[in-house]
Formats: sequence, structure tokens, C-alpha cells
Amino acid sequence: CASLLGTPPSEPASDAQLAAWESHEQSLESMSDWAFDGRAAVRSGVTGGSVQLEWTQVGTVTSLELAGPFDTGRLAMTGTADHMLLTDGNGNRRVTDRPEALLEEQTGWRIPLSTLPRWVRGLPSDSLEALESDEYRLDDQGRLLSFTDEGWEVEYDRYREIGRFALPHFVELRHDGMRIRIAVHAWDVGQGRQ
Amino acid sequence: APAESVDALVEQLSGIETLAADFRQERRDAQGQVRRESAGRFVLRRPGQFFWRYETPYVQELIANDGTLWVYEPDLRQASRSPLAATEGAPIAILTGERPVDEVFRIRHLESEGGLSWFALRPRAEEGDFREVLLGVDDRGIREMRFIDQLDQTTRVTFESRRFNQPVDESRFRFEAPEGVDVVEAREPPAIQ
Repeated sequence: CASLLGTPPSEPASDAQLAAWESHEQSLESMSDWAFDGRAAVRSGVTGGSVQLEWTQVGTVTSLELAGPFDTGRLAMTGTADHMLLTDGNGNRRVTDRPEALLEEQTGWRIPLSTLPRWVRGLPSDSLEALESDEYRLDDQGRLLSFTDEGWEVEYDRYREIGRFALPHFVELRHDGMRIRIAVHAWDVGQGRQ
Repeated sequence: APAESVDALVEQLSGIETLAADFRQERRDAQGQVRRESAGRFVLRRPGQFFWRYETPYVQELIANDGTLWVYEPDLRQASRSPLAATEGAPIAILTGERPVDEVFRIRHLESEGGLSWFALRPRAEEGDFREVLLGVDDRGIREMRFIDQLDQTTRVTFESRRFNQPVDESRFRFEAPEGVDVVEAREPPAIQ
């Protein structure tokens, strides 16, 4: 399907945009504990689904809860990208060192758990300097509109100020036949590191 | 008076041909903390047809018709289709299910409280999303449902401005994906084997 924002020729970011990006990035990097409540729709080929998604991040520990229609098929996951506890709606629990692989086995969906905590906030997995200048586009307030990172195409929309952070409320991620859309209903940013 | 016996409840539930109402839904975790509140409206026709629309906090439509459940997410521009049976254990099946409710659940009459007569329903099938469902009925019919899941989280749904057995516009139960919406086949919800 056509990408969210269309892809006009991406001239490299201006100095003003890069300067704006610097302060925007610094504020996001100071976020240590945060959470969001929203919905995610995934598609892999012709199959897919949509879930209610509650994501909580405390430092490097991610806790997320997924639920299907009418709160059926609840799945809770907590831990880091290389060690997670999964609990399903029936109370079955399982610990894994490969949560991405297990999730893909269970649902058929490839979810980039290790990089999503940064991507979902509008941060590249490493830094903008690590990307080629034609691999990202900034808006005029220096926030990421789209970029290609670790083989994923990521696009943002509906940035809004939450406290002193500008956060996206719509993210689309694409990789091979996999497409994930996340619509954030509410961000909770606590205070972030002062 | 509200149903006071299991038979009276079964009869009252099977007497519902159509029901339209507004609903408020509240989910609390095991510690009783409210985790999510949502509201919307629905219309259903037994057996097996419903149009359930969440309006807040975000719009989501769940439409069931001839054995298919559609989940439409306008904000995510996606609609997924799955067999309705996948929600067999879901509480909506109490209202729209084909099978008599006492076949699907073991039912006990509790007591009357807050003007409602309460019943406890335990699924006869072992594996299910919900450990127990509590139904509160008044003289007109079902007024409140509470589902307790295996992790002791409770979802409470309260119905208002209920209209029982009124004529219903059939087209509500037909879903056409609007332009630009991706249609996908839904897989079984994730569960750990």
C-alpha cells in the first residue's frame, strides 16, 4: 500500500533542522521511565490482526500487554529483548531468551522488541549520524518523519507535546512482508531524568 | 420481578431476539486498580449477529454476521476477519450464542443486590479466557456483566437505555471495508502452548 506520507525526494536535512533535532533527541534520551496505551495492527502477507497494546518501559525493562477483541487472547510479556517472561490469558507462563523468535512462532508476527522502545518514541536505534543522509527525513521542528534503520522503514505522524517531550501518536514500521501500525492513545512520561 | 432461578435466567436470555443499548466498560486488575475504561453502543440479533462499537477511548467496531467476526480499526486503517467461533468463550457469546447458556456454562443463582438478581456462570469448557462471568439482571433483563479472567482481572460492562426485541436494521451487521483500509485474515489470538 502507498506509504503513509508519500515519499517526496528527500533532500538532506538543513543545518537548522539538524540543530532542532539535537535538542529534540536530547530530551527523548532523557526519558527513562515511560508508558503508552494504544492499539497496534500488524499485517504479514494476507494474515494479521489488531490488538490493544499497553507498553511500560522502566529503564531497559519492557512490560507489555496485548489483548484481542473483547479482551480475549490476553498476552503479557515482561523483561528485556534477550530475556522475557510471557504469560497468556490462561495463566500459562514461559521464560525465553529469544522473545522475538517465540512471539513470531506464536503469532507469525515479527516484532522488533529490541529496537521498538527507541523507534516508538521517534529515536533511531543508534544515532542519526549512523544513518546515510538520504535514509531519514526530519520535519521543520527537527523531529523524525521517516527513516530506514536495520532494514526497517519507519514513518511517524501526529507528533504532540507531552510535558517537555514531542512524541508521535502514529508509527508505521515495514520490513519484508511485515507491516506494523501503532496508534498511541495516551503517553505517560512521568518526569524523565531531570 | 427479576429472574430468581437458573431456569428463569435461561428463559429470559433465550427470550432475547434483539437488544440495542449503550455500554460502559471498566477493567480492573487483580488489585482492583482501574486499568481501562471504554464506552460505546451495540445492537445484536440472536443468533450470531452483532454490531459492537467502542467509541472511547478509541473507535473500534466488531461486527459479526454469518459466522464471521470483523474487527475494524479506523485509526489503524485495518480490518481483520476471523471465524466467530473464536469468540465462543467471550462474554458476547452469552448474549448472541446459539447454544442455550446453561449448555455452555454451569450457572448458580447468587443473591439480589443493588436491585439486580445475580448469577455466577462458570464455563464448562476448561480452557477459556474467563474463569467466571457474573450476570446482573433486573425485571427487564440483563443489566450488567462482570468477567473474571485467569489472572483475576475483572472487566465490568454495564448496559443503559436498553431496547429489547425491537426491529433492527439488518444492514448494521454487514461490513464493507472502506477505501484505503487493509483487510487481513486474523490468526488465532496468541496463546502459549
